[in-house]
Amino acid sequence: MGNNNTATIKKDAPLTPVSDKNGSHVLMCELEWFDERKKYVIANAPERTAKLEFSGSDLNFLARVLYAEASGSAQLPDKAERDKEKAAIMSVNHFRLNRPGYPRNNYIATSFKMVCEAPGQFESVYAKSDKFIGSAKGRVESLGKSECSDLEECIEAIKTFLEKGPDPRYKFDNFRGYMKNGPGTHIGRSRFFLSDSAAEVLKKIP
Amino acid sequence: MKNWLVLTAVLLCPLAFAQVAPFKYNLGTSPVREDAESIVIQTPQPLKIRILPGGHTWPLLNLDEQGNIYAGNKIVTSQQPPKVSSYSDKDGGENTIALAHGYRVDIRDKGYQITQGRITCTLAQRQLGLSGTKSAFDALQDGNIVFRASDQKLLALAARLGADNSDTTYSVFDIDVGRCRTHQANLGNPDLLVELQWSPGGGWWITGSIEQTLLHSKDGRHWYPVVLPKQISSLISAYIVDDREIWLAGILPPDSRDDDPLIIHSTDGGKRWKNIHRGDPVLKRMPVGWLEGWRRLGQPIQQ
Repeated sequence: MGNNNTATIKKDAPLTPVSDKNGSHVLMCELEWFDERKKYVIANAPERTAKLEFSGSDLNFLARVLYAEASGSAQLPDKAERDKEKAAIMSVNHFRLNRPGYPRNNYIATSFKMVCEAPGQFESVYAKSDKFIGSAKGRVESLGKSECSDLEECIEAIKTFLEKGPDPRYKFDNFRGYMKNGPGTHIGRSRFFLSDSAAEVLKKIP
Repeated sequence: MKNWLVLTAVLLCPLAFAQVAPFKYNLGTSPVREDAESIVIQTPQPLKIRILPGGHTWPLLNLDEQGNIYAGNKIVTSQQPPKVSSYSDKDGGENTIALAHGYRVDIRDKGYQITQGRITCTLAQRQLGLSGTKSAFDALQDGNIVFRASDQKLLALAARLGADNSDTTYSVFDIDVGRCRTHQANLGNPDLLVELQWSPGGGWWITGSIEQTLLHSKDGRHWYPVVLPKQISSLISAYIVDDREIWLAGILPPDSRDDDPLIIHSTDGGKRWKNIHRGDPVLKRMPVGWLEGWRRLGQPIQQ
């Protein structure tokens, strides 16, 4: 429990008798979010994103999107595969920073929130998926144990991304969920794409 | 918090995001101003429409094939000067959506009341393929259901969200308002579907924004993918004029330029596609009913 928590007990609520010394196990999802008062940069970033600073709230928003878009441990039990998938999704997010054309030429994202909130680009944000809504403040505390752990992994993945910089193995500008034999490069349970226009622009501006 | 992550420890102050510079364009005969947060239609009493995360607008904004604007419960005609009318109810019209061809949708507790002339039909969320985990208002605002009217019928594109994005399934419901019945066409999960539209010569189409999907139907019940060049990316909208002419909002390399509106055009039913640059005379025949097209031709407003 955090500080200053207050419990309100209704008059007719069932109470544990004083004689019961076993207590009850209460699960609350508590996470080590990014500090919203601080700013962060990407290590080893290309010139395009080297000067961008990201607020803690921006990175927390990104963590929620990553949680909603990436496979959880229930879908993808192998942690190493989950890490690869998250790194590849982060490559898509990073690719779209400070670049026009996602989806219009006059929309240039300088924060991860802008990347994710661009018109019709990220399914969890566009359609407000249950996972995305469920990770919002006021709801996240009641996530189940494995969902909470999945979200924690996403925060860690972003911290790793900030510390090490973009993973050179992954150069993608789009991704979508699993589809057996579907097009794209399969990493984890997602499919990744690098469009022709993105490949072209990548040569000029990494 | 680990120190290596922390660059500065300054208190955040409100940031003035200027990544979407204000721009202007016309819809029908109405001048419009747009920035990162809103679209303002310059009628005598300006209509302000919020741009929500993901690009949704609220009130919902759409055009018909003649350039008439439908903004929430209001209709702005494309005549000169434009005339504004509105549907009203006990909520003052806040939960009412005006659609083309005389259709109207009122948000109810657990579904939608559809009106065409004197006929009304109320359909629960589940009858329209929605999971019902959200309110009818939220499902509409989040684009989980989209209603579009032609001169003959009303369709709804519904997304039934799954636990994961890959579990989402889409359906198109052909709504017979008179009998208050629907016919469902299952689309599976071909893409993130972001648009349902109709034109008199082109019929119905649905646009998908991640895998560059364009689905086409003449009757709203049978849907077929339009084969698009593999090079196309960032597709988010389309306008099918007829069997030959198609407009796309997307990128087609290699001859794209930095100041392109990112509009692609075909006049042979999709066999050949051309990038349209600013000033191209073909833009004079861009359909008046294509909202995304007009937004892309917007001119920056000098601050």
